[in-house]
Amino acid sequence: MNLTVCYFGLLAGRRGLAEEKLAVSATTPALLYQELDARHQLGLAISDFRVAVNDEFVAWDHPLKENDTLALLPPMSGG
Amino acid sequence: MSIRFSLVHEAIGIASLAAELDNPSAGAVVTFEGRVRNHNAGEAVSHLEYQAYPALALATGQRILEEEVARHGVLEARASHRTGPLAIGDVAVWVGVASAHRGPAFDAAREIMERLKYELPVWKKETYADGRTEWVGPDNKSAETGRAEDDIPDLPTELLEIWVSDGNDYRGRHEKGRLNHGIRGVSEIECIAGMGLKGDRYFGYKPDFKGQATFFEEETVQALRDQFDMPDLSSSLFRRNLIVRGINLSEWVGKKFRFQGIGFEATEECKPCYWMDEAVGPGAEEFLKANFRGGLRAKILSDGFLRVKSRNSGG
Repeated sequence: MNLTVCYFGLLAGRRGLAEEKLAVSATTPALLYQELDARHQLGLAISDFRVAVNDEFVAWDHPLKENDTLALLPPMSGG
Repeated sequence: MSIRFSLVHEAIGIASLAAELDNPSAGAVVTFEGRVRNHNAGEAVSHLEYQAYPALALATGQRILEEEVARHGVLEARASHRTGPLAIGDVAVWVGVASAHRGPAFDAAREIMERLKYELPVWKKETYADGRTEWVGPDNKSAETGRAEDDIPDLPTELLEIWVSDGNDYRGRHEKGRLNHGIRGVSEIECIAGMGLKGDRYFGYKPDFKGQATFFEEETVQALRDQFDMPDLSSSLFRRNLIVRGINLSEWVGKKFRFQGIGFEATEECKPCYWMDEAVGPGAEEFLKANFRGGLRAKILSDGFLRVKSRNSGG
């Protein structure tokens, strides 16, 4: 399945880019993050941050679909 | 009632936002400006930058305003967050609320601001006077976890007994016979970070000692009483310090926790030795070796007093 993955905040720094297109076999954000973490040493635990798919917050076991855009959102720091 | 959240790349238009709060029913208007300050966590900050996830930030900001307006019953709410590079003194975030009375206006403005800090998908990167940059978490919490660095879980258990001893009975006594320093049961004990339990033999034993305090499960004492048919066996016999109930100590190895407000770092199992056979009976050492029954050793991270659960308090 083809996805777009967006990285924000410190995750963009650790990945070294803000966005990439990937062909993946992972079926949920949790499984995808596990692969990305193993490949790029992203270092965050999914219990500590949030994920969005197509501009909406979703649970880590949300089913992914072809052409979804997934955004990895480390702890937010507004204000 | 109206609501509007915005993200802006240039200076926030405070005057026009404030004008939007005009409402003939409003007896109270509260506005808040969050500004960039020149220091954070003891470091000189030269400037900072906010990155946003615009689509989700707009939806989230709007939702926060809607929820807080409904919760507090206020008339108008506006908020705006700046993105991109900001200089010292720039307004990074602005919140304004109009309400019939001041109470709900103050409450709603504060709640909106708190939630924007933790829920709005924007991220703050600070550049320090020496040129280093760092992504920072909300309220100086960890940028990786969103929690305070010392935000460690409570050990979910109760303390039944405390045992301390002036000297070692078994340690270093191979083939010499045990000593009999005795052991005292106390109802409270002072814990000193990095040192140990005041009055215990291991207090100040050596730097960074892994066994500044030892935890032991009361269920293990009971299991030994049953196994060895010794109903009167005292939990002091094992010479562990803190007898606790209702917890699996093995799950805490390597973790930090707070117990009665005092920080601990669990280090390793307190491995039983052959003296346990002498103290209890043949087979006790083997029994304690299985299933992490030997207890848990820990370092003490902060000062304070531990107290046993009062037998009369019922809770």
